[in-house]
Amino acid sequence: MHLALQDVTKRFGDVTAVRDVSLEIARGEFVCFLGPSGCGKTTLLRLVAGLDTPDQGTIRLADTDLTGTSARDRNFGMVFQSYSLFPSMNVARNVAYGLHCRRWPREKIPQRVREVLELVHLAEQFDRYPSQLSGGQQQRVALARALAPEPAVLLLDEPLSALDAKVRMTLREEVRRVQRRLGITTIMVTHDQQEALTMADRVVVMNDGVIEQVDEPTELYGAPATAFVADFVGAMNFLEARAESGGRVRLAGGTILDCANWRTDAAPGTPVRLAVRPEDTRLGRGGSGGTDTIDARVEWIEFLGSSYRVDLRMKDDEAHLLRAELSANAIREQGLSEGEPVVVTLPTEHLWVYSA
Amino acid sequence: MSVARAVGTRLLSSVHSHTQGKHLVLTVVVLVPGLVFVVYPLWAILHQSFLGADGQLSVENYTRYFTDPSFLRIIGNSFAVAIPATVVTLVIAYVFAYALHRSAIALKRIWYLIAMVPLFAPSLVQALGLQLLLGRNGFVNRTLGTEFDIYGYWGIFIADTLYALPHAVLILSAALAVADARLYESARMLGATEWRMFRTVTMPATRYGLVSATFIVFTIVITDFGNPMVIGGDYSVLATEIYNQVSGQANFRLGAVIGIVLLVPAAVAVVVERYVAHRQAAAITAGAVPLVPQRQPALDAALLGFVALVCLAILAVVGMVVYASFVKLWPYNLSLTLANYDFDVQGGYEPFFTSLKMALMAAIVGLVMTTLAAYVAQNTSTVFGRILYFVSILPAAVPGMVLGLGYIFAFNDPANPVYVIYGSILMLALNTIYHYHAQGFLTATTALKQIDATFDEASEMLGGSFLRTFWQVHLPIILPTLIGLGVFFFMRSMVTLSGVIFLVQPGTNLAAVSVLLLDDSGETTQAAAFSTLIMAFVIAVLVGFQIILRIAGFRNVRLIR
Repeated sequence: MHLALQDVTKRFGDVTAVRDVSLEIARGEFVCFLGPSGCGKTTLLRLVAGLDTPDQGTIRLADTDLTGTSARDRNFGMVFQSYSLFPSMNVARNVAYGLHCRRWPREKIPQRVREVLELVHLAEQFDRYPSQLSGGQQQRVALARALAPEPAVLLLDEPLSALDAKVRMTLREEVRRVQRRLGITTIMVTHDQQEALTMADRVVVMNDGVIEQVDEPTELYGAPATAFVADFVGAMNFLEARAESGGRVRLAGGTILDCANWRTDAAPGTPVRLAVRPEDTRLGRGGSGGTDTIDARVEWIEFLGSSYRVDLRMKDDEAHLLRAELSANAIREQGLSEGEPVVVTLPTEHLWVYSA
Repeated sequence: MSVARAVGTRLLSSVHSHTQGKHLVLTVVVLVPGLVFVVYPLWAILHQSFLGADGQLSVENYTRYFTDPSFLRIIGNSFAVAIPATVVTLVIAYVFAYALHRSAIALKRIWYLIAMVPLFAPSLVQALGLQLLLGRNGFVNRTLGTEFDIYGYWGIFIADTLYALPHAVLILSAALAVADARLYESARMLGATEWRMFRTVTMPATRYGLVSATFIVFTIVITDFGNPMVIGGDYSVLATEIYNQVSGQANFRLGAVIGIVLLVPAAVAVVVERYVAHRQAAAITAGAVPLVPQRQPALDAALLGFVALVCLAILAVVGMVVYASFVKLWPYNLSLTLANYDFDVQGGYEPFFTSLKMALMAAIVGLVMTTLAAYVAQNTSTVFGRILYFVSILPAAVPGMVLGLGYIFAFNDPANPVYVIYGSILMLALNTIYHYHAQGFLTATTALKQIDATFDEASEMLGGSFLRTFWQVHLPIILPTLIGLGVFFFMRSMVTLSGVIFLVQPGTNLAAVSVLLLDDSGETTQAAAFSTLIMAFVIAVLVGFQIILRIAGFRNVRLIR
């Protein structure tokens, strides 16, 4: 393992920001820390950076304990949300800064500056000042500056959050491209699940200072380990239900469903939460079905561009809406419109059961 | 003393829990000069004012003077000038600033600079100019054969209004300079008239600036010393009375009582001003669209006329001083001469060079001390940090004369270690630094706030040492403001009068004091010449720095504050 965190804990006064976190990251891997604000992801990144010191636990880089090594001596690159380019220096001097600090031979510096600036397609702008650049350009300079001293690990603290949606998309690709090309071990903190899913090799979902799940993006989305992950990553319907024997659950209205994916060992008769993604929710026309379907009425249809979102009022459970996502074709074929009755089928293999 | 020790012990024990040893030492080192040169002199005045004839503590000074009708009349006089002068100054300054920032009149930059001229001159130049213009032997009476007599109430009123005007214009300009065009567009879409927009959008957005300006102007006017001294005639106000009592009759007790009395309105004003400033929410959000004033021919013409008139008044008064400085024998022989610049009395050019030395000292020491204080106050969360902040802005509530008087009581005593520098130029510089400490401290604080906390971390991650971060990252960011801060201290030191009037000695006479003494001894044209010399020098320094900063590539550096 390249970078290894073991039982890392960090407290601020009475608040435990990071609790007993253990994590291993392979060389060249791109890992995202994902979670809502206050979940401890930024604190964890700062502990890796050396900007904060853990109260307990160790952080090792290639079997070297980093505990006694200051941020200054770790040679990790870091990119901040606010760019943090030094306003009094032009692009080239900003990029060269770390090289001077790290005592690179003077004659090698201009070439290295040029190299990393070419990597982020900003070689032409070398003599501009930060205030003369757009947000996206500034962040690319910040990336070049972090990469210039050939850091062992690259740390990105919400690097795209301050940017416009369009710029964010292009920069997302660019960061990923540069990272792959250099093969540098990278940790990025983000609260944007799309960013995490598209960029990371593995995503670390955090909540309340602990890791909820560490997985590849497809696994994370397709097989959420906890109700929190299921809720936080992607859209998810949650239904109140009770566990039955034989891998089945009973909904409030009496519908009994076979569920393939149990993430709880709840005893029969105890309450559980049943989760299903909107795109896995199937709709059919016609009268009341059997005991494995739910009768509902279309309450609201919303056009999303490539698909439609359909909100359903369940006959058995008037208090909750069930959300389905359907392709434009499906809507057209079935001739769905608001107010109409439908029969909802929830496929066994897409049903997840969590503790209530 | 035992009380002080008990408080000290409590402070120390509360700080121990923070374990910021390194910072604590620095905080105390920065705090001590503030305690010595601000708090102790104030305490000395307070103490003095409660000393009875027998040397025991008593309230007899207060009971004696507050039952003395002539003293009560002087207090009444002070307020009778200060209140109307404040109102008039504010109205003029508001319209003036409005014209500069919300209308499409021409030559805005020029009008602004003219309005700032009184800042570049000793605080008695307005009175000197008025005396030359409207006095018994003034230009108007001589030319038109009228019988104006400006001495007394109206002289003080007009001189103080002109003197306080740039301060008010500076504050109100800041308030009126920024505006969100979207608010005006919304109001216009809803059918609001220009007058309604002014009342409902412009006024509320500038209310805090207005309150702030009110108190600052009031403080300036009620504590101004130079102008009433020159033009007050028989009309006594507190500031002139304190001088006469202390310098003329060596009545230190009464001086101390007046000092305390002068401290009260100024302190109230500053407290309210700080309170209002704290409550001021950001009126401008990140998405605001800057307002570009539209042409409104009738209003623009009226505003232009007004602005031109105000500038004419300022220039007439100052111009009269400059003119008189080249005249042979005012007002009898108006032929031109340079003889007035020979300064054959009051030590000749000596005071000018003393002022120059003092100003340089104040600029450098003041720059370092206020920046250090701002840095420490910003980075310390202990109780010492809060005390440091309080002591740093406390001088805003202390009129210059009161501080100067406090220095006499506090340091004119061979037993006091500070006595070593008593009467030296360093003492004068320290007095001036602490007189203007609050403004300098707040400026430095603003400069330091420009340093984003992540700059430190970015530099640290790149391997930058503490020194390299300071030298290459922090310093270039704050340098322009720091230069502005040094210029501010320099400029104020060159023209200051009220703070140092009690502290100058024959060997350390200062330029502004020299003007006062020249005028007092009837050498009006030489007083005018000395004033002109100071103004010309200050303006030359400002222009010089502006040019240097331009060449160095720094833009938008405010040198006038």
